[in-house]
Amino acid sequence: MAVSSPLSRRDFLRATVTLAGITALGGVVSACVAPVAPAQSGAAPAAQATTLTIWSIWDLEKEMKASELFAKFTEKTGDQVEHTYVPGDGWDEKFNAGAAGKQLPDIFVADGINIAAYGSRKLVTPASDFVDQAILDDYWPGILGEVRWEGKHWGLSIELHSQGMVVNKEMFKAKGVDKVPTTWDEWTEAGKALTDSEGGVWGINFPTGRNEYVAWWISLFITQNGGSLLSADGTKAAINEPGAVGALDFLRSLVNDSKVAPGASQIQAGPEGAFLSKKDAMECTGSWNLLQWVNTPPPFDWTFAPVPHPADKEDLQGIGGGWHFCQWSETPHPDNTAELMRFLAGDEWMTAAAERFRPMSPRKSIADKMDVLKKEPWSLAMDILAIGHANRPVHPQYPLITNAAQEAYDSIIVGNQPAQAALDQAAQQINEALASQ
Amino acid sequence: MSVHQSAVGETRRRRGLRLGTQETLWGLFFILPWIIGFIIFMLSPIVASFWLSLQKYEVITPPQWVGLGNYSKFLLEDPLFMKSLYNTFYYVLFSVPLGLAVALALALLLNLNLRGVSIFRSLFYLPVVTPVVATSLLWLWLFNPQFGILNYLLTRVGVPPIGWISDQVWSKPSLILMSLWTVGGTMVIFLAGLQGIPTHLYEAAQIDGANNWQRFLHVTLPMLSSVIFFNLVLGIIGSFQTFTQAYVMTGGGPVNSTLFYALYLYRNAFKLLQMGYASAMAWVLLVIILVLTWLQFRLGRSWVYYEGESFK
Repeated sequence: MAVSSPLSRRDFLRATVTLAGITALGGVVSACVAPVAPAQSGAAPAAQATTLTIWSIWDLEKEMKASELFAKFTEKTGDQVEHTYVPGDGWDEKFNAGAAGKQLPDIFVADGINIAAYGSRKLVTPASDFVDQAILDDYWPGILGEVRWEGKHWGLSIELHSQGMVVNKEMFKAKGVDKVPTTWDEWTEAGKALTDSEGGVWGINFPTGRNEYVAWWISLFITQNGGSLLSADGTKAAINEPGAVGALDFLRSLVNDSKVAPGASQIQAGPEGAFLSKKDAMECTGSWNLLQWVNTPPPFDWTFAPVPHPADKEDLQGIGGGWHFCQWSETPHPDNTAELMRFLAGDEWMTAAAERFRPMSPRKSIADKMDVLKKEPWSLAMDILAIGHANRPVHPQYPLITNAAQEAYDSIIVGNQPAQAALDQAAQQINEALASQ
Repeated sequence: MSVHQSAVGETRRRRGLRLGTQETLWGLFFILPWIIGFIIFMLSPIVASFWLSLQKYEVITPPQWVGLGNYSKFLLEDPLFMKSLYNTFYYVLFSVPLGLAVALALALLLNLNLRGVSIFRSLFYLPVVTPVVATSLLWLWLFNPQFGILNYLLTRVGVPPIGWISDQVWSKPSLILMSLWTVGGTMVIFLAGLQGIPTHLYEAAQIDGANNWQRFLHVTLPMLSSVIFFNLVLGIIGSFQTFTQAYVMTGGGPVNSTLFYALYLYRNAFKLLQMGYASAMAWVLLVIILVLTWLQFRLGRSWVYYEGESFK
């Protein structure tokens, strides 16, 4: 009989502790190893070089050859820049995990709607602390409205968009509609003339459903009608006041009474989109689509126009910058990061962004130099910028505010519920959210 | 045994452990990496999620103790919680029995001794290995009210088009219909179960004059009851966690008609940054699934037949 080697408790514990020790040591060693910096192209000595990290939702290398620009930054400062593209679908998970574990990059992009939440929770450092006022003054006021909170500017935009309406001029001509509508009444009438319910063709198409994009759009209609989501001082809900109620009633009536616009129950974009496949004549969209449509024009005569507004009210339009570069408040390299933020707001970066990525620069002086913006349809989008506002409130509780608002919008427009009752309920939820801050 | 041998044995017992204990300890030692991984990556998050369920936690700020506040919010303050629960129960109630019936019917067909049957088995199983996101996008086009093939076929036979996933009346039934696309996994398990039924039982029933339906009812179903039970338990657990289809295709709409529990949990956790509330929701879901599973095991005693039981 073979004699088995005895294993005592002591042996077992010793082996276990050894294994655990090796594992822990491995973890500590791997955590202590500094990331390998990419090859240096700058003049600064390697020992002093800092690698600054950026997370964004854009593939900046593909879109605008960002590495060429970062190489110039390295030449000037000696610091390397490492950009990570995080596709939108995975952003929330990655960002939240990074925030919870304090493992965020030096600079990350933030959706305009989260700027105040991040600022109030001290997750980001105000950009206005280190970017020259002259540069900030060069941004379109509308876009700054999206990143301004408590008197400071918290983010730097790379792109800017105006909300607008694309119009199929051929369909207008076929139905004898001469004028692109500019008021809500004209819009309704044109919608009636252009709608062919049996053919599945709609005069008007504006976003419906329950998401932030829809909420952004409805904020525009509310603003146009003299309303807002919050009171001017931001301390209580105003979503159930006449301006907002009137706007939501108008949108509800377009879908459910006049039946000139599809609710969610009647339309989904086709393979080419409803507008391109001539399933709607006037579609609410924005300048972000122009880049594609200028390069590959729709197979019919079309134009870009401001969104109609109430006849008795001022012509107000909407803009949005989407996502903005922000400096992480706990970056281990605050001075180097501030330098990189200045670079991201500077002429060199912004000009390249306008030329290679998005022509409509958030900085006026850069946009002025873009010849392409002087021609239609870009010039029409630029006209809208002049009267464009950021229509959503910049508030730390915005995620909860918009959640309540979206619930109401969806039930009013798609569910055909009375606007006042649904917005009263939303106002109550918003006030609770404001109180819980 | 001499006194000397006895003393040596005693010393060994003192110094070492019994063979069985030694083997157990060696076994534990070798699976230690897995145990460590389990503790770090599974047990710790589970415990942490319970701890978080008692906190107000916005991810970007430190947690604040709220005790059972998140749990009381379900019933008292959040109508969407009940709505998501209703949607999920509705989905489970219809998709699971329907899925089982269709899978069983397919398994019966594919159990026939026909030429090329293995090709059909592979074809029916194929959607199971297709990513749900890809399948969802495919169905998005099938359901498209203007361009989708389903409405095209309906209009060809004079039926007006349906707003499948974009009409709050049709949205849940549409997703239930879509869930049938992936019954292949259940079907394969049924197929294995069918092939394990002894043929002599069918022969005996045939001699007794049983027709096809009677053979199915009195031989196939009882002999398959343990497989049905297995698929039922797994089906209910899986359906309660339905997420991707609604996330990709409807976002929970229209008017929250497809706001399933897991989707609402995700929205609270990652969109509204209410991680504490979402953790509490996760624990409530765990309790619901545990209770329902326990209930199924209790009820299963009255209708599930296990062959092995006759040897107990």
